[in-house]
Order: sequence, then structure tokens, then C-alpha cells
Amino acid sequence: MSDRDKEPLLTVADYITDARRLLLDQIEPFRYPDDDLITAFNLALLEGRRLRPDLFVYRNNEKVPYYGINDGEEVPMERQFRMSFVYGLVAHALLRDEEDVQDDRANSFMTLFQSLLTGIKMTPITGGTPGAPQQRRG
Amino acid sequence: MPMAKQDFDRFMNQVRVRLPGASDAGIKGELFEVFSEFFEDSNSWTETLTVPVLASNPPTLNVLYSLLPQYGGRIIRLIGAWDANSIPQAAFLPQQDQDGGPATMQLVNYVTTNQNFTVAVIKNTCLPTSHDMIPVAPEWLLPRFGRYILDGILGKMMSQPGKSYTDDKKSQYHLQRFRVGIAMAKTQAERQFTMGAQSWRYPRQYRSHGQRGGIWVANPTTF
Repeated sequence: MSDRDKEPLLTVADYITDARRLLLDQIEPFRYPDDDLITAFNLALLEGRRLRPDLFVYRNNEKVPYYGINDGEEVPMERQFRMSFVYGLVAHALLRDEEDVQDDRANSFMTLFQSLLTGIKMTPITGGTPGAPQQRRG
Repeated sequence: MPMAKQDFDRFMNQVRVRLPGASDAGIKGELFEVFSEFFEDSNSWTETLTVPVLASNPPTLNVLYSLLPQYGGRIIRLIGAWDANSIPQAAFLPQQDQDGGPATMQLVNYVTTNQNFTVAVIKNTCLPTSHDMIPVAPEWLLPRFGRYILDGILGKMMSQPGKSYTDDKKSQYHLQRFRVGIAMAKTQAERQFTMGAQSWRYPRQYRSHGQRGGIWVANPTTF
């Protein structure tokens, strides 16, 4: 496939790779193993089925695609919705962490995922390093 | 012949621009409903078939003739049947075209000689669609009635709840224009796409042969 024919987020490996960039987990040993990210991806697809049935019901006899390994298997998803499933994957992966910051980021990515599927404008990503403690006035 | 690819691609691009956040699969799925409503109510998709009719001895009337469209679609109504001498023959459709089998025609009067009948039918879109989920439709649909179909798909898509393109007010507007387009297509089909011609003609058997009823005159004027 030439560079002209390539598209972003075409295969399972593309989704996992992009998710690792957002999770800052690109150096082995990974904090989020491949199996966890694959599971998170499958869960994101299920949530996508709930929000946008038109993306699934006309293909695959209404079944939601399921992926078992991180490989080059193509994910049949229209271009304008691929990025949302990356965010859904990241959201599900972050939810397993127990830190408050990660909860905030997980919710933020989940909101992004849902807003991209059902709306037009993206909601801003929130959640990160907590700000300096506030000082009492007066 | 099926729709031309360039016509359909251009049509899809127009829809995509007007419906941000819509999926191609969703658009094509809804398009089937638009085509179905358009052809069902406008009677604009017709086809003329040649049906071999066999004389039966002794004469029987319960013979069913299968009607198979040659250019896609599903037969929903019978316009008329003409024998080999172009004389209209009474006929009806006891069974419309269904997914399980073809439409069948039955003649009211039995036929005494083997001959080919000319049968005109009205068609609608049908399942299954093509492998890329494009509904079956004739090639002239988009060039001739593309703007009405566009209103139909926009109206139906905008009526879907919970989407980025949901808009009840615009949905009503587009669906009204779609219904107007169906009515115009129906009128054009009834007039056989002629300009200025009338769809109703005075019954041939009651015409007069002169300007004065019942009185023969030299060089009569017929109407």
C-alpha cells in the first residue's frame, strides 16, 4: 500500500499505537498490556453501538466487531468516527486506575468519545496535574 | 440501467455536507426509505414487458403469468396489458412482487391464440441492495428528481433523535418539499413527461364524427 492509500486508524494496531501515545505508555514493559487495551477497545465498540447504531447495524449482520489480538486486522469504521473510538479506548483503559487525576482524565476522554459520536464540537480535555493549593483569604 | 456512479457520488457529497456527523451507512439505509416512498407514491418508475400468453383448450381463466422486471426493482402495480393487435385487455395482479417470488398477472378474458402480450407495470425499489448498500433505482432518478430526493433524505435524517444533525423544524421543511416533489413527479409520469399535453383524453368510443352531433357532414372535423 503506498503512502497515498494509507489512512490513519485503519487497523487494530493503529488504534492501540495511538492510544499508547495518549496514555504516555510507549516504552516496554507497558503499564497497560496489549490485552487490556484490546479489551478496552472492544468495550468502546460496544458503547459506540449504543450511541450510534447506524455505524454497526448495516454491516456484519448487526454484530459488533470483536478483536482478540493487537495485529493488522482492519477495523471497518468510517473515517469521521475513528478518532472517537481512540478516545473511548483510552477512557476505558484509564478507568482501571484508582488515582483521582486519572478518574478525571478518564471522564474527560469518555465525554470526548460520546460527544464526537453524537455531536459536532469536541469538549475540552480536562484532568491533569492538580493546581497549587488555594490559600485562605482574609 | 442502475444509477450512474458519478450522479450518486455527487448526491452523497451534497448530503454529507448538509448533515455533519452522519454516517454513510446511515444515509444509505435511510435512502432506501426515501426511494421507497418516492416510487410508491409517484408511480414514476415504469417498465414495459413482453409476456407470452398461451391459448388454452378448453379455455381457462385461472392461468397466472409471471412478470419479471428486466431492469431491476419490484413490480407493485399494473398499468395495462395489450394483446398482439395493440388492443387493451383486462387484467389484474393477484400477487405483487414480493421478496419470495415474482408478481403474477391474470387475464379477465381467455385467449384463443398464442401471442405476445405487452404489459406495462409500475415498480418500486427493492431489497437486497447492491454490495455497497446503494438502493436499486433507475439511472434517470437523480438527474431528473435529484433535488426532491435530497429533500427527502435531509428531512428523514433530521428527524432522527439524539444526533448532531437533528433539527425538527428543518426536517418538516424538507419533508414538505419532498412531498411536493413526489406530487410533481406523479403528474409528470401521468403525462408521460410531455409538455403541454393533457393527461385525460375524451373516451374514443364516445367521440363524435362531426360538429353537429349525429349528423354527417362533408369533411368532418374529428376531435
